[in-house]
Amino acid sequence: MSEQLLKIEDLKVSVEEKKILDGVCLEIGEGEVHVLMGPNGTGKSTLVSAIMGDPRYSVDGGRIVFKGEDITEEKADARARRGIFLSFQTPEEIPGISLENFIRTARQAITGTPLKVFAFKRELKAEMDKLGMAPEYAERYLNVGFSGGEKKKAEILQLLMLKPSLALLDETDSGLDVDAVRTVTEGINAWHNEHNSLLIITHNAKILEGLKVDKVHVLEGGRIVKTGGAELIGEITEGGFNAVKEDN
Amino acid sequence: MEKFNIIPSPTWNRLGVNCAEESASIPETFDSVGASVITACPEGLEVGDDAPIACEELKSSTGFDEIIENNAEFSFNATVEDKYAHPLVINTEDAAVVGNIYAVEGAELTILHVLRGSSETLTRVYAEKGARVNVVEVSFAESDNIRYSAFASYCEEGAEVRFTRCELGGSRVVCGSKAVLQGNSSAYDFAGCYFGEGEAVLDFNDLSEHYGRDTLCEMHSAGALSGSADKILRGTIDFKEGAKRGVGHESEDVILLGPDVRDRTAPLILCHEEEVEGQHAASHGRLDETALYYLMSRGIPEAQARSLMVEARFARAIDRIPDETIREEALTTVRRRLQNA
Amino acid sequence: MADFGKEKTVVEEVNRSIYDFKDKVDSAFEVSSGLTPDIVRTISEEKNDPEWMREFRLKSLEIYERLPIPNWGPSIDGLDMRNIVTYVRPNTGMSATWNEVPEDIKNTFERLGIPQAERSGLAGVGAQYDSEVVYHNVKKEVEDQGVVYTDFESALHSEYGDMIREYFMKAVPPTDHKFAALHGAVWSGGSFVYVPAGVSVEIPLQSYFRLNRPGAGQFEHTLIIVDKNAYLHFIEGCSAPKYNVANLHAGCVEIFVGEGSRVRYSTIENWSKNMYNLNTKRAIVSKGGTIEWVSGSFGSHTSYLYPMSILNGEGARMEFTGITFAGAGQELDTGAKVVHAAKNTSSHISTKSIARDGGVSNFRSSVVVTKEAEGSKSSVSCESLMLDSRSRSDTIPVMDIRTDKCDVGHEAKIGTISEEAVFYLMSRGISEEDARALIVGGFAEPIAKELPLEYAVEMNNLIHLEMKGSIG
Repeated sequence: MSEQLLKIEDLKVSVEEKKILDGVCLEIGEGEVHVLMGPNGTGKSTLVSAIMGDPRYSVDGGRIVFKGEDITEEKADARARRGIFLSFQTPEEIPGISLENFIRTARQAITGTPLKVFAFKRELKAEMDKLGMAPEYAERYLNVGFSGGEKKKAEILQLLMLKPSLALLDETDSGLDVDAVRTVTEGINAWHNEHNSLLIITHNAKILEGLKVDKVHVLEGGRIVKTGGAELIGEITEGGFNAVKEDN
Repeated sequence: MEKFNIIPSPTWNRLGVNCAEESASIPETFDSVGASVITACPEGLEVGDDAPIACEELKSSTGFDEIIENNAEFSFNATVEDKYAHPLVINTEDAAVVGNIYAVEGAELTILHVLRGSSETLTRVYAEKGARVNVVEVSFAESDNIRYSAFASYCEEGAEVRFTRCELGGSRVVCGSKAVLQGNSSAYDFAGCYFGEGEAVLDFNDLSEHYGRDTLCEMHSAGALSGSADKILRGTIDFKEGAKRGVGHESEDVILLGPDVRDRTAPLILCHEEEVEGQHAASHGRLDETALYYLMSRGIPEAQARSLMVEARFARAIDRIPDETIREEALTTVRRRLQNA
Repeated sequence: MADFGKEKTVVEEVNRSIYDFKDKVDSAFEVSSGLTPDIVRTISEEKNDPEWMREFRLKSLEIYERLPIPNWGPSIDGLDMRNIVTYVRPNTGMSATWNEVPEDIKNTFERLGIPQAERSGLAGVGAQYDSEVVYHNVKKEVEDQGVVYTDFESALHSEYGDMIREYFMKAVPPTDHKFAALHGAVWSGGSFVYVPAGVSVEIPLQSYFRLNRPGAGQFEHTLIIVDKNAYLHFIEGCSAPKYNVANLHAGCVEIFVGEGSRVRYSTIENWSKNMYNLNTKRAIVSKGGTIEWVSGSFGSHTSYLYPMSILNGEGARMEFTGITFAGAGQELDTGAKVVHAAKNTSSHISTKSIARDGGVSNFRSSVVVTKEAEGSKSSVSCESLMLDSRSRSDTIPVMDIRTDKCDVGHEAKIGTISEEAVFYLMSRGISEEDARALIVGGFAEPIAKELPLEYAVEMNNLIHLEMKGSIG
C-alpha cells in the first residue's frame, strides 16, 4: 500500500447541534482515488467540509490526520497550506476581487514565496486555455455572474494553479453538460498523479473516466456502511444503494 | 408648535422632511358627524369597548395618537383567542375611531377597515407568540376630506403583523405606522399605496424597529401624484443592536403625473448590528415610455395602458384587500383619479 | 530627529508673526465666541486684504454669530464653540515636531513607507522642500498653457483679483451654514486655479504641493474656475495622515465648471483622529459641463462632508464616487448633494461605507430636482458594510422632486462580510485576517479604480492597516 495521506478516525460532526456524522473512519493513500457515494442528505458534503475545516460544522469527536499530523483543530487556511483543496458545490461570489488576483494571493499564501508576475500570468493563461475559459475571466470578479459551469471550471482552475496533494470534489460535475464534464475531467486528470489523491462525491460515473478508482465508500446515516472497489459504482447505478447494502 | 411624523434620524432642515409641515398638522378637535360600524364579525369573536392594556401602551410614529384617542367617539377592541378565517369588517364614515387588537399565542385575525369622508384612526396591535394579525385600511376620502391614520404594532416571538394602507384620496393625508419586532423570528409586512391629486398634502412616516433575532420586514409603497399634490414619505428600517440576522426590504415607486407635483422621500436604514441585510430601492418619475409603447403596440389605448401600469404598482397593496367589492371599488377609484390627472 | 528641530523653529516664527494678537482681544465678545471684529480685522490686515475682502470677513462674522449649530448631524460637542478663537488662532505652544505626532500616525507612516523627508511635510508642519521643487515644475508646465495655479493670497492681489471678487463664496455663501460663515470670516491660505477656454490640463494638479504650509491647512479656500471646453483634474490633500495640533478644519472648495468643460476633483482625506472636519465643497456646473467627485474619507474624529453640485446649465452632469471607513472613536457623516436646476441634467452618486470597531459611518444625501429640470435623471447607490455590532452605519438619503418629467432612482444596501466568503478564501490557504481584508478591499474596489494609481494603492494599504488586528 502506498504512503498514507489522510486518515479519519471515528469522526463525529454536527451542524447547529444536529448530528450529521456519527463515527466515520476513512483512509486515503498517496495517489489513490476514492469515491464517496450515498443517498442525499447522508452527510457526504458534511464530511468533505469537515476535512476542509468549515467553521459551521463542529467536530464533536474523532480526529483528522493529514500527512501524519493531527489537523482536527486547524483553521481552513492552514489546512489549505498543507495541501488540502475543496472544490465547492456552490462556490462563493465575491465582488471586487478578480479571479487572477485571488489565485495569485492564494498561491503566494500557500507557497510562502513571492511570485514572478509574468510567469504566473503565462501559467494562468495556459491553464485557462486548457479549460476553455476565455482570458477575460481572469479580470472578472471572483465567481460573480459566472454560470454554474463557469464556476466549476474556475474551481478546477484553482486546483490546477494551487497544486494541492488532496482534492475533495463535492459534486463538481453536477449541473454540467457533457462537454463541460469532459473538460473538468481532463483538468482533474492533468493534476492527478501517483502522489496526488482524490476524494470525489458524485452521482455521475462520467467524471471518473480516465481515473483508476481505488475505493468506493457508501455513506448512510452518518457512517460509512460499505467500502469496496470500483465495481460498486456499477452495482449502485443499476440497483441503487440497497443493492450494495444487503450484502453488508 | 408640536411636531408630528418626526423622522427617526434628522437631516438638513431646509429639505423640510424632518417632520410634517404645518400644512399637514392635525386639528386639535375632530367632529365625528358620521359613525363607525362593524359590518361583519367572524363568528365567536367578541368585539367590545374595553381596550387590552398591552395595546394602550403601544405608540405609533405619528406623535398624534393621543389627539386621536381624545377625539375618538368610536372604538373596536378585541382579544383574539382563535384563528379566524373571515375578516372583521368595519365601515367608518366621517368619524374618529380607535381600535385595539390583542392576539394571544397562535391566534389569527384579519381586519378590514373601510373609511369614507374625513376620518381619524388609531389602530394598535399586540401579537403574542406565533400570532398573526392582518390589518387592511382603505380610505376613499375625497378632495374635501382630511385623513389621519396612526398604526402601532408589537410582535412577540414568531408573530407576524401585516398592515396594508390604501390612501386613495383626501386633501390632507397624514399617516404613520410603527412596528416593533421584539420577538425572535417575528415579521412585519407593510404595503401602502396612495393617490394625491389637486392640492393634496400627504405625509407618511413608516417605521420598522428590529430588536429580536431573525426578524423580517417588508415595507413597500407605491404612489401616484397629480395636480400640485405635495407628498413626503419617510420610511425607516431600524436594526437595533442585537437584531442578528435581521432582514429588511423597503421600496417606493412613485409615478408623477403633472409638472406641478412635489415628491419628497427619505428612505432610511439605521443599522447598529453587523449581521443584517437591509435594502432599499426607490423609483420616481414618469411612466416608462418604452413599456407604455409596448402595451400600445399590442392595441391597448394609451389611457388604458397608463392605467394598467399604475394599477400594476398599486396591486401589491390593493390585492391584499380581503373583499372583492372593496377591491374593485379601489381600482375604479384609482382609474377615475387617473382620468382626471 | 535633528532635522525636525530645525523646522520647528520656522513654524513658531511664522505663527507668531501672523497670528499673535494676544493683546488685542476684545473681552466683550469673548462671551459669544471669542472671535471679535478686531481679531478678524487683524487677520485681514496681516494678510493685506483688499477692502472688499475685509468687509466680507466682517459680514461673515456677523452671520456666524447669528447662525445656529447644525442640529441634525454627528455631535460636535467636543469643539469649544464658545471659544472658537482658539481654533482660528493656533496655540502659541503649537510645536508640532515629529516627536509630538501621535503614535498611531507615526506607525502608519512607518508601515506606508513614507520617506523620512516627506514626513515632516505630511505632518502638516514643515516646509516641503522636495515638494516645492515638484510644484514649481508642475507650475511651469501648466503656465505655458495659460493656466493660473497659485496660492490664494497672491492671486487676490494679481490681475485675477477682480475675478476672485466675482466668484469668491458665490457657490458657498457664508449664509449657507455656521461653518461656512466662520470660513468667510477667517479663511486663510489655499489655492486659486484658472483654466482658460479650450485648455486641457493633462497632469492632475495636486494641492498637496501647496497647502501644507504652516497654519494654512485649517481654513483654506480653494477656488477653481474652469472656462469653456476645458479639462482639469485637481487632487486635494494626500493619502497619508495629516497631523495638526488644532482640531477644527473648516475649509471651503468652490468650483465653477464652464460650458462644455469637465472637472474631476479627487480627495483622500486622512486627517488625524482628533479632527473635526467641517469642510464645504461645491461645484456650479454650466451647460454641457461635468463635475466628477472622487472622495475617500478615512481620517478625522468627526466629519460633515457632502460635496454639492449645482447643475445650472442644460445637460450638465455630475458623478460622485465615495468611500468612507470609520474605525474606533470616529463618526464620519459623508455623502453628496445635487441640485438639478436645468433641463436634461444627470447625476450619479455611488458610495461605499464601512464601519468597524465602534466607528460610525453614515451616508447622507440630497437630490433635488427643480421644476426647470425636465428630462433629468438621477441615480443614487449606496452600500454599507458593518464589521461588528458595536459599530453603526445609517443611510439617510432624501429626494425632493418637483417635476414629473424626470427619472430618479435610489438603491441602498447594508450588510456584513459573509462568513461563507471568508471560509472560501481560507480554504484556498489565505489567512482569516487577509481574507477579511481582501473582501473589504473588494468592496472598496469600485472606488479604488476611480483614484489615481498611487492613491488607489495607498487606499488599499490603508484598508489593510485598518483591518490589521481586527480579528479578536
